[in-house]
Amino acid sequence: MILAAKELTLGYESEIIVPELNLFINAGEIVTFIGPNGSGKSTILKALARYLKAKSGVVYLNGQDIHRMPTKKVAQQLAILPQTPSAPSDLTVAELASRGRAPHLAWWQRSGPEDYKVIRWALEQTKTTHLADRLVGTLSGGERQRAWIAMALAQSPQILLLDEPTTYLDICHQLEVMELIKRLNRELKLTVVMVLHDINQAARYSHRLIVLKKGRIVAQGPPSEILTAQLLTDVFKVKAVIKSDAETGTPICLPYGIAE
Amino acid sequence: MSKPDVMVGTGSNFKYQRQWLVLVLTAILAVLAVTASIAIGPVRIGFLRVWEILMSDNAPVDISYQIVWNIRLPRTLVGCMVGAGLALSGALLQGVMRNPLADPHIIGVSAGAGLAAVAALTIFPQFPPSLIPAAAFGGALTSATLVYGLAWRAGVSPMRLILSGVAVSSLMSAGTSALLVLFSENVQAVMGWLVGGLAGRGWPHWAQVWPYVTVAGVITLFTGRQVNLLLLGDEMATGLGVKVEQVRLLLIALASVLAAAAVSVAGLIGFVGLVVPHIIRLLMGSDYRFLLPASALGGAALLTLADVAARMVMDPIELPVGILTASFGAPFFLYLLRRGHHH
Ligand SMILES: Nc1ncnc2c1ncn2[C@@H]1O[C@H](COP(=O)(O)OP(=O)(O)O)[C@@H](O)[C@H]1O
Ligand SMILES: [Mg+2]
Repeated sequence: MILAAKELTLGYESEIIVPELNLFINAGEIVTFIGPNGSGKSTILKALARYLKAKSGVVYLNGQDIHRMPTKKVAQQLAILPQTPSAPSDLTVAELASRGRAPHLAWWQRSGPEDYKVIRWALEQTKTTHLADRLVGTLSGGERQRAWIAMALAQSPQILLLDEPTTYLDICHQLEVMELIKRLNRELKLTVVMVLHDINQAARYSHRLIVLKKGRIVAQGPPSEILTAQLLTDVFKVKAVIKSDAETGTPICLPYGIAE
Repeated sequence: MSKPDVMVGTGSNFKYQRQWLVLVLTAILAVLAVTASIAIGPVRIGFLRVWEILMSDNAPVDISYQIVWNIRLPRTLVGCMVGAGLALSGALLQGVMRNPLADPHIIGVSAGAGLAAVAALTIFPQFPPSLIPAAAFGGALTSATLVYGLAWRAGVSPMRLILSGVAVSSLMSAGTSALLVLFSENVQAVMGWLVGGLAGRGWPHWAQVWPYVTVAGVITLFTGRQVNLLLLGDEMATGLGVKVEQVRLLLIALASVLAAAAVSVAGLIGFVGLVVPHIIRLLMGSDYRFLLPASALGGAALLTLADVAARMVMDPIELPVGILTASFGAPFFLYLLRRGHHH
């Protein structure tokens, strides 16, 4: 158990969005949150990344209360990509990736050869080496997403949190990003916790789904075990048939109408 | 200064080289500006002679020597500190607010300094003039603290900070206006201060300004990487291990001290804090590890040159340098607005 939430209550101002959430993430897993808009997926991810302070409850990273750890120590183990990150318009991909080294440097230190090695490695992993000198703002959506992932990898984290990494991409670039995530998980044993909109992609690429409705977990487990027509009706208010992919055995959902 | 991030790429965009080039050029410009400012005046002194007087232990103590050491050098040094302080302050605030239109006025520093100085000059006519800078400094910091405090709601967002700054500044300006109306007999003395300038500034002003600008300035130069991370957004910066609220408070405090020190000795000098970081950013990009030192040098150079111009354009009448910076700063500001602001 690399990351866990215990009786986590989250909200903004006086409004409670997520009441008493318990969850755990195992090392090496790909876990995906799905749920309708506003069900609290981003809120939970922000809390797991210690950006949002919980109203009560604790997030544990490798068994330690994340808010009691030095924040740089956390950043060496856990990286997050928000849904719509922004960067200065003159930032290059290499510079962006190099920002990922910040948690490993004391304030008086400069990047050394070791850091440049990691940055180069992160660019290679995300196939952005040839883009190193391009401005982040001039990249295509898929390239940009890979550049941001390169930055996260340069943190050399054990866990990567991603909020809807494919939402603004066309289908080819979506698959490119998903394949990249899958490969990072396989080859680097990177634990991945993400939010996805596309239920089929979530089912295809995740070891485990956590289904949310109004801030509560209504189902969780391997996609093939939990994705049912009834669940989709309950949670997303759609009528759907669930098929099974002939090759991989992962469930595929085909929505055909709105449930009343 | 960092090693080049382009060591990772091929370096084909020459960004790193450009950053160093601009930094070196601003340094050269600052040296030239200082030399010109000491050389030019009713009594002309050759550029080489200036440096001989400054450097040589056995330079003859003649009239040039007297003018350099007693009048022009302190005034020039005060100008450098004021320019560097305002430009650094502006650069910091533009980074913290993630808004290229931010400048030292936005956190209420100028309005606070103005109110305190005017109150001292009008309500207490016996107030010793030598303590006006101290009063202005106090007013500026009080005002900045008020702005920060009012913007605080479980953290300080750039937007709330700007709104709070506008509100506090308006209030302080209203107070200043009220004092000017109520004590109209003292307006003459106040006007000189409000317009902003370096006329008659000497070693006492230097003593008032350099410790703050030097200490806050040196600390500021070490914050470049933190500002770079803040520019990626609060959430990303937190993810990268930045204590966002603490860093923001530190940066705003530094910006306040820098601007307060500048304003306290030179009065209200507009647009340097806005324009200088902007020009530097256009020339070299937004990497704050370079932008901060280049802004400090550029600000010192620009204000010193503006002061030279202020002494020359209507010779023998001396224009307040604040009028000059405003008259080239305002059109530039409009140009920025028209270009739209992307950061
Ligand atoms: N910064 C915020 N301030 C106030 N309410 C918010 C904020 N962010 C999200 N919310 C509210 O919290 C709820 C859950 O939002 P979110 O976690 O973004 O949902 P999801 O990511 O599942 O679409 C929504 O009702 C949203 O309006
Ligand atoms: Mg969301």
